[in-house]
Amino acid sequence: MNQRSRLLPLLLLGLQSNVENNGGDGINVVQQPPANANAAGGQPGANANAAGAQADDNANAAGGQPDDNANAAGGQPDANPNAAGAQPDANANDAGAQPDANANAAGDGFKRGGGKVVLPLLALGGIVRWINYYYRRRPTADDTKEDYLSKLSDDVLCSILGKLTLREAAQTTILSTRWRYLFASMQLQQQPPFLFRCLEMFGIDHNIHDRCPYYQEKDKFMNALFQFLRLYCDLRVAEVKLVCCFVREFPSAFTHWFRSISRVGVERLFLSFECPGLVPICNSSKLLKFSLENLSQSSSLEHLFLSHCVVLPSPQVRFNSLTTLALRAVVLKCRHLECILSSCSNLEKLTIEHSKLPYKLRLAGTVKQVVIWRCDGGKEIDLHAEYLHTLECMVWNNVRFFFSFVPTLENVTVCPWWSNSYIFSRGARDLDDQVKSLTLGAFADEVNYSPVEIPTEIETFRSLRTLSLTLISNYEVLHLVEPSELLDACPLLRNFNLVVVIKKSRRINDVRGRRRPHISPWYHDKLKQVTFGGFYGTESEMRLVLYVLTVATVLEKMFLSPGYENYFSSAPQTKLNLSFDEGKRNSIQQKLHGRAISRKAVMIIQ
Amino acid sequence: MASSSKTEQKKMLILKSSEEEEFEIEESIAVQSGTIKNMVEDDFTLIPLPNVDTETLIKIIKYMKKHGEKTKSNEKDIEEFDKEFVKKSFTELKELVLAANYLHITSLIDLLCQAFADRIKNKSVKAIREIFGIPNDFTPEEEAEVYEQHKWAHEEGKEHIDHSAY
Repeated sequence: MNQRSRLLPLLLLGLQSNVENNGGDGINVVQQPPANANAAGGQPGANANAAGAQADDNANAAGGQPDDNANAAGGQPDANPNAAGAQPDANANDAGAQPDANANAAGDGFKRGGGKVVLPLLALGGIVRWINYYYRRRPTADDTKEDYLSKLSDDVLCSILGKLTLREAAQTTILSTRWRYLFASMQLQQQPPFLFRCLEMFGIDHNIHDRCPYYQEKDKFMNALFQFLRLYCDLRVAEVKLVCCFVREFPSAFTHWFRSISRVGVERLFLSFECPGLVPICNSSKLLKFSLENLSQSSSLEHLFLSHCVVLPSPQVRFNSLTTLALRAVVLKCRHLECILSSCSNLEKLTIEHSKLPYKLRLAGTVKQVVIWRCDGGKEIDLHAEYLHTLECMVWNNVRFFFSFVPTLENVTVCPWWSNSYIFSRGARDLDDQVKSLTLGAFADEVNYSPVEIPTEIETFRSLRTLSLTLISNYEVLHLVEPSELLDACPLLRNFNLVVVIKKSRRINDVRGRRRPHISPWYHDKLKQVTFGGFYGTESEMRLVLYVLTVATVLEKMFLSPGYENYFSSAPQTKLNLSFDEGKRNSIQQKLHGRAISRKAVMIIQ
Repeated sequence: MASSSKTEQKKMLILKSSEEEEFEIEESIAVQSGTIKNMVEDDFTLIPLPNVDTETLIKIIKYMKKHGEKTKSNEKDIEEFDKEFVKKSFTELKELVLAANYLHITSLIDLLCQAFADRIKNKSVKAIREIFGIPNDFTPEEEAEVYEQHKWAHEEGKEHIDHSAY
């Protein structure tokens, strides 16, 4: 017995030179005959070529495969990550290539050894099958035929089903009524997000293409989309992503597809109507008009992401389970967003990026977090949301905010593009006393080369705990914030983060600031932590730091660093790793040493 | 497991099986089980497990001990252990998964489910039914209906299905 199994690996190794499978399997056969005899004999279809000593079985396996994989959305999502046949051609090709390789390998073996090889091969085939048969019996030899699986709870069984391929799981429906029900309620666990990209389908290499050219390819793409629907009908799919630039060429088909996608129980849906999706939008008149009525039946949709279209709402539509709505490079017409928001009864997060806003925007409803980033066109934004607690807004033109009803608004991030006096005077009044964290990005006035304007009259932010200020300028900022006024305006301030971003050049000797420092008679008794990014040790910066040190009585930590992170820039240009050289660090340390009024203050200079 | 004077006092728990046998185990290892963790938070040190028999409890403790020592270096080691761990009979696996479910040990439940799935894979429906003894409670009409519903699954790709019940 052992000697026969030793012959196996030798012959296997010899014949497998062309075949890509693991010679390791062959070696292991010696040590564990039962397990690998299984691998060798039992499952020719599962692996590309399992121990191909059996020429017949190999041909079978190879023959089996083209069908399997050419069947779009072939029920083995684990074998083929982009399931639902997003690449039906690619698969047919792969499967097609393999039988050749197999035939070749076997063929080579035949040619080399001629008849000498064939007979032992067949004999071995027989032996392996016998071993397979014998050892397979063992696991169940000592088990009685009790109904094991049915004693387990539903969710354990669903987990088991989730680890099978879709086809195998579907086959279990015929076992009994309970299993039929289980299949319907399970969710494939190892399910990848289903991704349909017209770009990948054609294997087009270049990133920019105006139109996907070939009609038959588009047909196949549509086929794959519908095949997916058919297979996953009545199940729950976690995520579907469609990036397709020719939606307008198949209007009724796509409408039907969008309407049916709800039957697949999708939770996250990502639709992009342009590939690749470049921002900002070059030509908004060419964008597809997408009506949300298409998704009206999605009762399980939780996250919707739309990109590169004109979003048209529909009054009858109700999105009761939608919690996140993200719009990117879309065009919103007047009152459309309001309509959309009113149809979502559970919306929590709204994100609008790189989009064109209408003149007047009114944000109402249940939304808790709103991000409006790098948009243009909006001139008035009215906030009337009871649960809103975070607002982030960066719009490329002058915006007037109306905070008509935002009782729980606590975190505000704005980047007013033109002048900063607004946020400090009117803003404070409007925001009442509730804002706890304010992040501001301020751009220097580049036309006049004048530095960042912070007005001298600042209203009081009565609740503000955290203030983060990012000053962005092309050239040296001659006069930073007037710290005394700032600290006066924020009596409860605990954390102050200042980042100075100079994009082009810094002058080494800076000119003295225009205004004389204003000495405040009050100490600030709440400020605990101050961080200063983009710190260079210029005179105005040192003045600010010294002022803070002398005024903050409970200061615990001050962190100075030339590196910074710019939240407002589009490129990820974090320069966190910069640090001072020894000499510079020492000189700064000397100037600041012992100036802190607070005993607990720790100074960290990077 | 001698404790020297240098090591900290490790809190020990006692797990009691349904057959009243008691096993001592370190708390830090036992809290891999969600159920035990909850009981510890309610200040239990003797934890009765009436749903778990002794043999199964021994195996579970072995599993938890091995997985309690998880570090970067012995990942391969733990994988090997897991592979060996599931080479058991169906009865044992069934008891283990019921116990793991009761004890809320997610990694063990996952491992056992995968083991079951591996055993069901590539078996024909008839074979599964025979092995696991699942009675067919469909009427002929219902059975035909269910077959139609997922015809694609039953018909295509049959080459690799193993029809033997062994």
